This record gives sequence, structure tokens and C-alpha cells, in this order.
Amino acid sequence: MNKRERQQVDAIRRKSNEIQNHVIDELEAGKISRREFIRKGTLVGLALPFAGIIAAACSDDDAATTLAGATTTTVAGATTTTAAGVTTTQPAGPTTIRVGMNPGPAVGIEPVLINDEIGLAAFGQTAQYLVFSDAELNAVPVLAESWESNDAGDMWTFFIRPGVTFHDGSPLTAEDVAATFNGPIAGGNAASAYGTFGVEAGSAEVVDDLTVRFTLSQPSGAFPFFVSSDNYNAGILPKSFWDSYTEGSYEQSFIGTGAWINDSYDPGVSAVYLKNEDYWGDNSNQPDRMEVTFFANEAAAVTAFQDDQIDVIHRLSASGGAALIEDPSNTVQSISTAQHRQIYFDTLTPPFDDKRVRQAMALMLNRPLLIEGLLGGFGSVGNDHPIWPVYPMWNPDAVPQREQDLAQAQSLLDAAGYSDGFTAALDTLEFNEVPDLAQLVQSSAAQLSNVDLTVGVYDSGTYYGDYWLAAQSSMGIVNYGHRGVPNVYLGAPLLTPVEQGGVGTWNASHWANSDYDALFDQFVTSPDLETQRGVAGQIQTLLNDEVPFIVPYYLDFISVLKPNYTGFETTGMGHYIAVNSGFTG
Amino acid sequence: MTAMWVFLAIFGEAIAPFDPLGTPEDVLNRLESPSADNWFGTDQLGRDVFSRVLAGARQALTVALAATALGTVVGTFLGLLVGYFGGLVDDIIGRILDAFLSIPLVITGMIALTALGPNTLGVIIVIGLVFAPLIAKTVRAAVLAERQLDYVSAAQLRRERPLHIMLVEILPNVINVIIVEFTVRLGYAIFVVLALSFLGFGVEPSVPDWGLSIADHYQFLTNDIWWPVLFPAAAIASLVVGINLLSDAIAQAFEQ
Repeated sequence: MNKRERQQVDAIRRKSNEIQNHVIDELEAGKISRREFIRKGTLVGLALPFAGIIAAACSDDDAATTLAGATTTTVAGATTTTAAGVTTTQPAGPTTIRVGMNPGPAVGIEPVLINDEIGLAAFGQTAQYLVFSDAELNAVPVLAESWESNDAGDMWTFFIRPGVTFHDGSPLTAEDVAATFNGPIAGGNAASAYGTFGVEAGSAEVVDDLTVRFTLSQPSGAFPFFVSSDNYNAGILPKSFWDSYTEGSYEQSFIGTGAWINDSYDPGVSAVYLKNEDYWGDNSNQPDRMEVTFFANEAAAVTAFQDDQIDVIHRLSASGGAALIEDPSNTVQSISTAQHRQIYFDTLTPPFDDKRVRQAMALMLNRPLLIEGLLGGFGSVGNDHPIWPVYPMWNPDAVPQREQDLAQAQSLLDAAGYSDGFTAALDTLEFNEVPDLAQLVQSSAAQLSNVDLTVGVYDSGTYYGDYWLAAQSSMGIVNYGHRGVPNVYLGAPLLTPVEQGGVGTWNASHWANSDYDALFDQFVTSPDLETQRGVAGQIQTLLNDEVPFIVPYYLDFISVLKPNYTGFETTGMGHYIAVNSGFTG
Repeated sequence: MTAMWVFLAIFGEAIAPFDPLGTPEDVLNRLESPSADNWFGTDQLGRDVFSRVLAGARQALTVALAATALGTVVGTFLGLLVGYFGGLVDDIIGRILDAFLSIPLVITGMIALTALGPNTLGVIIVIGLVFAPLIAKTVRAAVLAERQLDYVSAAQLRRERPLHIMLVEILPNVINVIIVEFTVRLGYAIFVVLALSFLGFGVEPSVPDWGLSIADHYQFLTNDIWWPVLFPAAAIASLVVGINLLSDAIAQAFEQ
């Protein structure tokens, strides 16, 4: 760093608060990479230009920082582009893009109730968030132009982008933002993202026309993610909408600030969107029209793609979409995500009340084989905790990767008094490769002495209603979608369960551990990344040892595009951006 | 044809070249086309389709036989009851059976299995009870003819108990009808068992079941992956045709 750069950095430091200076300290000390600094710096409210100056000044090291979250690979000859680095193409003349999704939105396009990938993706076309959590885990300013926190990290102020209008022409103000966060979405629908992020009702306060302040009951260094697209229910809608809100009323207007205006919607069948000519951002390359078709199943979407009825399939599974993925004429986009399956145990009743049995079950799995066989290689191994290795706070030194070891698994069963084996029920839902995973867990368990699992597969309504949190399953498999930060994974599924007096609303394993609860509090209130990484290491070690659930792998998000269609971006959460997409040739 | 499937139901698993349940490592060979190693190819978890077709005979025949047997026992008893007593008993039970029969068979099965949960015993009970009214009506018709005959009147004059008359006097004389009905229903039962497993209301996923195999793999047909569907479908067709031919032969034999 030369003298001029030093002066620039010092000037920025003087304008920065304690938390922001701490992040700069971490960069200068080499504790975080430039990429992590940009991510963390913008998260704590450092303006992007300032963060860029500081990162450039410290550019001697870490010049070859790799992208986290996005991958560039070649699959069976098909070109795979990065989700983050998509090169946009100028569409020639009026264009229509055709997007295929499957299935349809589970609960309609309903901001309060959305809890599925398709519903949130459809909502995200017309509505926007204060902050967008992108595929590289960056908190990207959208309707909030910038933000800052106090030194304690328990008061966050968001500065609303001026000049933004809703589709009806009314301007976006802080009143709309406050009405969104204090309104019906804060009403306690535990199934939604909002219910688990825990943005407290009434915490959003209007400071002036373009400023909103959130006062938190405890500090959070990741709060911008709490109001981001990760919290997919929190699309900013007009105060007038919330004042007259009734369930399902959003589908009457589809109002928002997004680049697309809804033209028609046939529930569960299709939706048509038109370009928003008054969009606040640069949408000069935006196609004129977007037709979305919801397919009942993946096979129907694959057939439609092969018949040239659609230009892109928003999301495909590796098994169901193999024909398209392996066709070298298609463009395959894959991004690494934190989405994972949790194979949980009922830790209250035998045999899984003994952690040695749970450890044995974790040791019996051949994880690379599962990824290759079930995901076609589109995934990465898990280590029985939900802190995805791409998260900046993941601690690589905490605990070694668990590998398959059948001999050790059997000796653990012997030590636990189950040398003669046991029988148990494994219940799960009909969802992508999950039934196949259940069968491979079953056949893996059969390699141990007389361990006999009975697999039950149910539709999602039956599973979530009768099995997931109920005490009747010895084991189960549940899906967790991508998140920009692991707070949701570490909270609801792992904190002491509600029935035992805690707040773990999604604790299917019924596991309760006071040490863990304390670590979780430390994690969410950690003032800086280094501290958080230290706590994360303890969490990783504890969960890997206790095994309330197995995390066998993390899944990639796969989209398939026609070879002449480019610029379609997705996130691990399921959002997609087609504003800059178009056709070549 | 039927004899072949009965043989395979008994010995199919023993002579199958691979473990029908497969091993975790099989998944690396998923959806491979028919070859010298895997005559019928492999399924989506890499399991040998030929071995699963052989082993599936036991599942199909065992469940269908047990369900049909249950339906025949219950249906025969009901048929004897309403046929022998007639009058008010016939009116009440007959109308209940008619109401029951008005609901499509597979729909009834799906509703019942949703309540009971998908397991083999549940399938047997549900199909058995659904078939019982059908068999009862056939048996009733035969009993109505028999009860007019002198040997029944003679038994009544001897003051034999109604249960004794039904089971000892009438039943042996309608047994031909029951046997033919049993074989006819067996063919239907195989269809229903496999239709329910195709719809996800049958057995657990790893069990080698023909209907389940078709359900799990028909989505791959558009990708020219036909073998995990075609071979189980051919097995179903050949078994049902075989049983129907057997049923016809038995009926003809009794007529002669």
C-alpha cells in the first residue's frame, strides 16, 4: 500500500464505525480475503466504492481470489457459464423469453405464505427486496441504496433508493418499507422464511421519507441478510396494499417495483410478464415479454424443452434432467448452494438416543458415491453440520471430514449394545432425489449387522403434517433450501425444541443441548468474522460429534438453457433474474 | 405361463443373478441399457432390472393371493348369509354392499390406504375387503338357487342350525362358483395391487414391485430409457393373461 492509498484508507476509516473498522482490520491483517472483505464490508454498511478502494489498496495478496458459490465447469461437453459472471447479450428487436418451472407455486404467489422455490421465484419477478442475496453470498443493494449499523450492531439504518416507483406509479417511501416489515408477514406464519429470520414485528421505524431504522433486541452482524431476498417473504409492497391485505389479494394486482409487470396469471399453469418501461434501474436490454410455464413435473418440463417450447428450465435435478444436462448442445449452468438434506434422528427414543448409534449411521454413508450417483456430481460433501464450507464463517480447522468407515460404525453399534442390530422407520417426502437417498441410506444400513430400516415416502403435505415434527419417525429426511447465512439452519432445527421449553420450531430430531444454545447466541451476536469463525468451529465440532442429523451433501442449483439464450441468472435460493437475458444469433 | 410365475414367486430371488435390493455402489451404474451382464438393464439406483422382475413375482402373487383369499372368505360368508336368510337381511346387507360397490375400486383403495398408511398388510386388507362385496353378490346368487332345493328343506326340518346348513350343506354345492370367482378376482387383484403401488399407495420404495418400478421410471421414457418400464409391464401382462386363461379353463372344466 503506497502513501496515497494509506491516506485514502485512513480517510475512510475516520468515517467508519467500530464494526466497519474491524472488518478493515481483518483485511489488513490478512485474516480475510478481498472477496470476503467486499462481502463483509458491504454487509456492515461500507459503501461499495469505499470497499473497492480499500480492497484495491490491499491487493498485494489474494489477487487470485476464487469465486465462492458460482462454479464454471464443463459437463459432458456442454458449456457451463458462471451464474455470477454471465455475459449479457443485446437482444435484437422485440423479444419474448420463455421460462419453464416445475412444479407450480405451492401456495400461489402469496407474499405472506410463500415457502417454496417456485413461489418465491415468481414473487421476485414483480416484487423486490431492500437487499438481494446473490449467488456469491454478496448483499447487493436494491431498494436500499445503502445501510449502516450502530457500533453495537443492534440498530440498523437503511437508506431507501430515491426515484423508485411501484407499478401503479406511486413512489416508494420508508412508509412502504415499514408497512412491509411490520405488517401481515410478521404475523407468525412459522413455515415461511420470515418466521425463522425473526425480524421482530414493530422493529421497523420510519425516520424520514427515505430512511428506515430497525431496532433489534440483540445484535446481529448479518442483519442485511435478514431483510434480503433470503427472507423471501419480505418483498417491499406499498403501504396501501398492506392496509387492505387479505390472503390471496396479491394475485389481484401483482404490484411491486420489479422490472416485470404481470400481464396475466393462470394459477399453477402459466404467467405472462411485460417489461416495466418505468423501471428505476437500467433495463435497456430487457426482453419485452416473459412467458412462464409451470409444469406439473420435471419430465413434462424436459419434454417441453426438447420440443423447443421453452428457452430455459429454471431448475432441474441431476437425475430427472440428465437427458438435457448430457446433451452437449445445451448450456448448463450450475452454482454451488447451501441447499442440503438433513437425515435426522429421533434423539429421544432408542436406538437413536445414543449418540454412538447416530455416529455409526453417519459413518456408514459413502458421501462421494451419493453425490456421483444421485446428483450426477453436482454437489459437494457435507460433514454433519449445516455450516456450508463456502460461508466465510466456516472453520476449516474445526473437525475433519467424516469418511465412510463400516468397521468403526459396527464397533460403535457394538459398544452401544446394538451388536444384534435394530429396526427403525425412515420417513421422508416425495421430492427430487430424496426417495432415492432414503433407499441408499437403507441399503447402506443393511451393510451393518441386522440394521433394518423401513422406508416410507409421502407427499409433502402428509410428510410435513404427520411425520416431520411428530414423534412417530425414528429417522427422517428433510430438505433445507439455500440461505446466504446459516442462521436459519442453526436456529429453528437445532435449538432446544418448543415442546421442551425452547424456541427450536423445526427441531425434528428433538435434540436439546444447552451448550449448543449458548453457542448459537454467541454466533449470531459475534461482532466480527474472526470471532464468528471461532464460534462456528465449536458448533461444527459439537454437531459433528452429537449428530442430531446427518448432512450428507450440499446440492448445486442446475439450470439448462437453449444454446442461443444467455444472461439468465439464478441464486441458490431459487430466485432468477432474466432482465438482462436475450438471444444470440 | 401361470406356472412359470408361480415357480418364480417361490424361487425367483434364489435364482436372480443379483441382489434385487441392490447395494449402495450400484448407483454408479444407474439406468444402463440391457447388456450381457444386466439382461434387462439397470434402474435408477443401478439395480438389476431382471433380478427385480424375478423377485417381483413373489410380491405380486403373494399380495394378490392373500387379498383375494381374504375377499373370498369374507365375501362367501356374506353371500351365504344374505342368500340363505333373504328378506330383510338381504335387503339391508344387499343395499350396503351395493352402496359400497358404487365407489370405484381404486378410489376406495386409495382412500383406505391413505388412512392405513402404505404397507403390504394394509394393501391385502383393503383389496380383500373391497373384493368381498363383489364375491358376496356372486355367492348370493348361487345360494338363492340352492336354498330352494329339497336338501336344504330337509336340513331345516332336522332343525339343524342355520350356520351348519350354510357351511356344511350349501357351501359344498356352491364351491365351484367360488373357485371360479376366486380365479377371476385373482387376475383383477394383481391389477389393483400393481395399480395402487404405481400410484404410490402400495409397498415401500425399495421392494421389487412391478407397479412401483413403472411409476419410478416412466418419466425416463422420453429419454429413450424404456427397459425399467417395459419389462415389469410385460411381466404384469403375462401374469394377468395367464391367470385369466387359467380361470377360463377352470370354469370350462366345471361346466363339463
